[in-house]
Amino acid sequence: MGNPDLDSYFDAVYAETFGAVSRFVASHAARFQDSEDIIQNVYTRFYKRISDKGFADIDSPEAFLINIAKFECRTVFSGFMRRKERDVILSEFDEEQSAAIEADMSRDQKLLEDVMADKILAKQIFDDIMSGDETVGKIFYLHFVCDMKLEEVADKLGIKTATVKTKLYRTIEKQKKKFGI
Amino acid sequence: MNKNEFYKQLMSEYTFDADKIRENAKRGAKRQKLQPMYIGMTAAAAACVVTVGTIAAVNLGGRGGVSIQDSGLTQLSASDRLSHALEQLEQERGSSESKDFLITFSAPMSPAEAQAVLTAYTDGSMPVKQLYFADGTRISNTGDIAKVFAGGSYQITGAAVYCSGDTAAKLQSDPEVFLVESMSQNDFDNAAPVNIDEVNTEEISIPEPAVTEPATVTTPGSTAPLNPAEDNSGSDGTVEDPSTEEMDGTVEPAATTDAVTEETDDSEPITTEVPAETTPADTTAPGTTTPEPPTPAAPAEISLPDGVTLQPNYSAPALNTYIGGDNAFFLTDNVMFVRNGDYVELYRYSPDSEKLLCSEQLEDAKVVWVSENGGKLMLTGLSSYGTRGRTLLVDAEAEYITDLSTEDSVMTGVLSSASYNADSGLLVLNIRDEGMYYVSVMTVDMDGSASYVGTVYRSDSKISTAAMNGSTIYLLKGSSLFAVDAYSGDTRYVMSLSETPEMNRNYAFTHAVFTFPDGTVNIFDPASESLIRLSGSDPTVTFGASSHSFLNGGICYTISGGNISADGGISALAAIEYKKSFSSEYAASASGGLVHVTASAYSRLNRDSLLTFSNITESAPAGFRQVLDGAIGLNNALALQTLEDSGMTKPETVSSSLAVYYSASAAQKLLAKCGIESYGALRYNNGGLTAMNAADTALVISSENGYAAEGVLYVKAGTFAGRTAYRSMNVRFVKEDGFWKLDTIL
Repeated sequence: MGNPDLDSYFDAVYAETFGAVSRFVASHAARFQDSEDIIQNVYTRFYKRISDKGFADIDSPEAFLINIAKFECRTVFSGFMRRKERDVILSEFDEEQSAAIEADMSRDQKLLEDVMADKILAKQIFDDIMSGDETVGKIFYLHFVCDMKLEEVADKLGIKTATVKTKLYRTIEKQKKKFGI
Repeated sequence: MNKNEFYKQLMSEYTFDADKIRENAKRGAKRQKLQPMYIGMTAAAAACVVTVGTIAAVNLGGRGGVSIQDSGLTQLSASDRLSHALEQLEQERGSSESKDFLITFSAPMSPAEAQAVLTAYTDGSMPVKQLYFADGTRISNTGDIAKVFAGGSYQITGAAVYCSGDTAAKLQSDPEVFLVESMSQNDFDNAAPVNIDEVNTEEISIPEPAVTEPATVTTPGSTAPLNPAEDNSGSDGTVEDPSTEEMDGTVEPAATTDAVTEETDDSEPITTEVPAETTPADTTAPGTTTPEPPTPAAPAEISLPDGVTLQPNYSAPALNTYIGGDNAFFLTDNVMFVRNGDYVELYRYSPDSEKLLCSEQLEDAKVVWVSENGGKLMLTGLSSYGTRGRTLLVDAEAEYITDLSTEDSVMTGVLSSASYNADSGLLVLNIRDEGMYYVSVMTVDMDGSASYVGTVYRSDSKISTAAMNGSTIYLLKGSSLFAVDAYSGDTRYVMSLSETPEMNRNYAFTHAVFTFPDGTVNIFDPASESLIRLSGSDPTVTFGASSHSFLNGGICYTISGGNISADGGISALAAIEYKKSFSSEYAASASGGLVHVTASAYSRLNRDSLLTFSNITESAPAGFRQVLDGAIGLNNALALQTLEDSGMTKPETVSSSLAVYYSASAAQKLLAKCGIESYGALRYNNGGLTAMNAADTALVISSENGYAAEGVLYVKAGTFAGRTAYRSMNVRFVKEDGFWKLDTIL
């Protein structure tokens, strides 16, 4: 690799900011499936930028990267509009159903460790999540990976909390039947 | 493990490959192709995106595309296909519209070679819909295409691709490419690369390019002078050749090429301008009938003291500088903006010194915004990517130049326009990238801080930013006008125009000017969302830096509430004539590679005066002009503090000289005003007087009764928006000792 100072700076920034950038992109990309490409572009741009011009003038790498990410998430607004249209067609889980599912979510299942160890099956389950509508993947990522509460996810995505719950729980229920987990 | 833990681990492991992203980022100068770039681009559907180094298969549905021919390639002979294709291709040169094209390679090539050729004129990617092989077979399945480019031994003779017309024309110039033909839907099933052996090249006549290269592109309209020095008022609202200098306005040329400088839109290639008032022609007397100024002479019976000579004809000397530059104008009273080659600079100027305050390199700098009251401007120029993508904020008040970092957003795309609306504090970027237009918004504070808001609109056809009101951005797309909210991206239809107009917008990004093919000119007023049709025959509309005032047909108008009204106020003109008005002291211009400074027509005296733009004809009985010229000569000697040079070395001589042309009362006032004692050594100040040129005055006597006469003295104030203006003052003459004398201090 080229300049060691550059690479070490990049690696440090990458480690420090990847979570924030991926969270931002996951929240704002019109399609969650595009998130990885967008994140790739963000860091590619960043690396090229610091290669060409250095990084002495970058006070906050995270802010800098988020600014790039904003540009890369070009379809954020059209994405919001699409989501709003789809919100209305979902039926909501009532409190009793939600409580049951949450209880089930907290129950230890030895099977899940085996599933995770089976890379092919795990990938199938992941792909199944991603095959849902464009917000399902976001909800899963923001809730489980970014540790955001469902209310925060809803706020971030600009949709109702009830809709977030519905999409999350419906997908989990579907996977329970489909994969036996 | 419970399900919460399961999904956390699952999503963490499978969502993003962080290690791959990190290493790809370090390795890739070329960015990866984004799938969203193809959403909505129907013709790109079912395309395989060939990227340098990676393959990304995109399967988005049905196939579309537009063909420029109806007959289909299979109905033409090989030679006819060649002739037809070359002719059609020249029409495509410069076009950003993407279509399907069939590429015939000069010789069969490997996948790697084909990939290198196909991506040579793009940013590294090219949607491929179909591949043709030497054995006559073809594949169109995206997965199969991806496999071919992923490796293997294939002899590729051609490819069906989806790209812009301009890219297709560039591909045609590649020696590895024999022919590029536009395709229809049927051609996907029936046509194949042309058989080179069947082409009779002797029959082929290559047409002359119908559209010229960017540097010589003919832009619509031609009303603006090519030489900016011929038009001090600027020429915004008109269309100029973007390759030439000076575009004081905001033309929206048709999308043309992928040239690095791209559309110039609302930008101004800043240039030399010689203020009209500095030209010899402007030193002539006002009006068309003003006689040549007579040599100053005293009435026959009385005369000036011996040795006294007066200079009633005075022209302020040019204040040349040693600053190099090809364009210059003042942004504040004493700070001027200078473009010197690829550098933009700020200088603080005084007649005794000139100090470089700051300098920044910016290639092909174009002004895109000028503060209505001066002090600041924005420029765009070429970025390190070689395309127009950089934006600088020049602040002459704070004396710094700030990079707004738009380059990091535009990257390899091209800024079609950058428009700043001072009321909203929003910079709207119209970015063209790989055939798509993106309207992105940034907040820009005048302290130089900028923050990206988001991309609020995108289109695969040309869009132009027309105007802005509040947080609403108005976009012209073909003949339709849309409104987009700068923060939410909410879009609504505003109106449909009768035809697709040629569009201009003002620097302030508050109005757009639509010129229709029949020559009618309409100004779009976003506040009322209405069109204001101009009734005159002059199609030129000049806003300069003004938000709501413009010049048309030599008259200044102000827009308010969807209506226009005549407005001749100097403040309105000052905003329009921003290059001449932001300093009350100086005006700058550049010629011969050097910056020159002259006195400003927008002086405080002129600003505080009531100006008239009418033609003034001198009208005064004989004798009054002689007295007036003598009085002006004395006024100038006092104002310029050149009494001694004029032969007046003693207070007594000054008094005697004043007594020849001024009334006793006025003379006493002048002596007092300039601190001249009656006796002793001559000491004085200029008393706040201003020198003037008698040749630039016109005297109109309105009443005279044998003892006193009253009238108005018109003094040429300068040229404003191409028209000569005069400030006026009431003057009174009285007869003392049988002679007319001026009873007014000028």
